[in-house]
Amino acid sequence: MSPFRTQRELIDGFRSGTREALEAVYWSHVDRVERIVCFGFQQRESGRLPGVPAAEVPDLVQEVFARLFRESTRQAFDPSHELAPYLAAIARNVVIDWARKHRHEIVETAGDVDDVAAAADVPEANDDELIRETERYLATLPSDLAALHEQRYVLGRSQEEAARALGLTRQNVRTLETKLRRGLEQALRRARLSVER
Amino acid sequence: MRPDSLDRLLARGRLSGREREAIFEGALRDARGRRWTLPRLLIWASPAAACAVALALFLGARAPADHLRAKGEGPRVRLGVECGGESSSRCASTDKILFRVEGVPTKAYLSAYAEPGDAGERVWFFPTAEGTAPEVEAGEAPRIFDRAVAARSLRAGAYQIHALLASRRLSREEILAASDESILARQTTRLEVGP
Repeated sequence: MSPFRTQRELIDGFRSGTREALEAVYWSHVDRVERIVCFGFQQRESGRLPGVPAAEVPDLVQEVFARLFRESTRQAFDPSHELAPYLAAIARNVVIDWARKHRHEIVETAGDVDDVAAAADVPEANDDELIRETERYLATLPSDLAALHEQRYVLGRSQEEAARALGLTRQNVRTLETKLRRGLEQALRRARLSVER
Repeated sequence: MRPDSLDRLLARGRLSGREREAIFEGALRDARGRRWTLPRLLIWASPAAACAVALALFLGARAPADHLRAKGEGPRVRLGVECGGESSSRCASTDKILFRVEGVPTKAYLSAYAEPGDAGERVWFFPTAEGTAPEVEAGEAPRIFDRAVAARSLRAGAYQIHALLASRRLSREEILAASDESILARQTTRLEVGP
């Protein structure tokens, strides 16, 4: 991908807030933002800040992009620079804000962040079975569904990107996705497992 | 269509394309929702209308987050595996493979191995040949294990990385066995390692 600062049209669209430009920016950077939010980051002076709990990740990724998409943030962006470091700084701030708000101590080594009391924290009884059954299902997928799974669930791509990568239409992608999901549902049912929808 | 627990299972705990699509729409709505237009100012001028709008905004704003969570989902043991470089699922040879954990109810031990996509030989990370494995104390907060795996220790190609957290040290045979009561969480992640 060419550097953001050289894509005049994209920069103009981003600064004026067109949906197309914001969508392009989002899909180029969402993987990196998810990683910062989920896995944390190294701080120059105070060591690694671990990411947030998995249940919080969607909300915080959304918060990062909501901040980026605000008019004031878009206008404050200097288009002679790259967007990635600007966005990474927003993501780090969102994680730091979350950690402060939830009083998680920011400490030097990840191994020391154990001051939060462990609740009666037993995993749901059938979590492990669900995961194992899902793995069994994924291991037996025909090639078209395996390719779709790779695009949409491993790489986390949009329908449009997945369609382009697979040489399909978006409708084809939707159809395959429905088939993939239905297949898993049936596999879980056969194994007498249920999943909350 | 909204993301749900099936998505979570298919995406092995990461954000799926469907979930990312919902997040984009939510971010766009949140960002645009902060504009103070004249109609909104007028609505806020009326206390009754303001309460109704506040409730609607609250419900609207929370909807995407709530439906992304499985019902009854509280803190639980979660394991994550990612490349520490530019891309989470594609490791450069200079990257490290990181292991993340959260919601650990008791002292636990990490096991991990890689299975090459080309049906090559399994590569063991933990326990090491000497039988050592990274440990983690009980704690709810997310943590990254201090011990990571250098991606250069794998030859280039696609791998399924299997990670497992257990409340006692497991032998390699026990890890490969279908189940064990001491297993707290398991995770399978597909990673590509570059040349």
